[in-house]
Amino acid sequence: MAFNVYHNPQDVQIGSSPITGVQSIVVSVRYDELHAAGDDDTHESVARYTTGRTSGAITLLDPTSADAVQGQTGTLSFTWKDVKGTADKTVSIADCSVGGYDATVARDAASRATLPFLAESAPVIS
Amino acid sequence: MSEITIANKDWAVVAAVKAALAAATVDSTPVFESVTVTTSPAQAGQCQLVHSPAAVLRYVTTREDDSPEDVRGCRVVLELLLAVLADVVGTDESARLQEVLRLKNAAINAVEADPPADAHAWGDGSGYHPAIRWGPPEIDASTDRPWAVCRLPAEIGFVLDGPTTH
Repeated sequence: MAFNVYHNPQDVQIGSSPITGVQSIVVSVRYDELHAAGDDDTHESVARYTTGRTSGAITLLDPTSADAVQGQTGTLSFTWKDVKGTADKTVSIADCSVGGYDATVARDAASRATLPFLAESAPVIS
Repeated sequence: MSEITIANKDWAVVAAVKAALAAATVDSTPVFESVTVTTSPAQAGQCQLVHSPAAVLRYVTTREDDSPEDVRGCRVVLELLLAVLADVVGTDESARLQEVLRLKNAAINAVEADPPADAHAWGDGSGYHPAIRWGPPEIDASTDRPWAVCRLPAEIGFVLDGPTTH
């Protein structure tokens, strides 16, 4: 089989702090556009993407766990389970900064908290 | 004419579930006195309930879903019939229900402890099924019958790498 299918992010950590009860993680990688025009150029002489940056959000069930890790910095890492049971993949995002959380605690639904994060680097999948 | 190979994975799954049920012991005593395989919903009640407790493994069907690159996410659909001879006087089904639920949980633990080697969870964006999914059990422990019976649906997922790897 030439492709991987993952589910169930596990062992989520920021620095050395575990983030428990994680339901999903959105990872967005953006490469900023570099535009450089020389003197008197009528067109841009260079147009390409620069290094990657990562942003995203972790959705978890436990507002207390979100509260414990808000504002922290460090390497964000987690493991995706490979559904065919061959090799799980670990995703590491260096120099990550976690923001504040949005939490919902409702009368008739399970609690839910979302933690945004930002990093200057692209994720490394190993 | 093409030279083909046959993996026969659906049978491997059935055989593995049967072996796991047959090998399950509690305090070194086998949980099931007999473990048999059938394909007929009626067959078990007619001639396979002899030894108690009995497990009859009914093969229902195999389902197959396409994934990218012709990988197939498959499921073997099974129904476990678990039965115990229960000689209870009176109308209270507590003892029979307790014993048949014990067998149901024993069967689940036996298969989960020794899952089929081919069992894999699978998801392809349009759906996900776990390696082993247990359905809701259907129990008849009424005291007007000699056997207390539990029908336990199960689906075992497995993956085929291509259309000729069945």
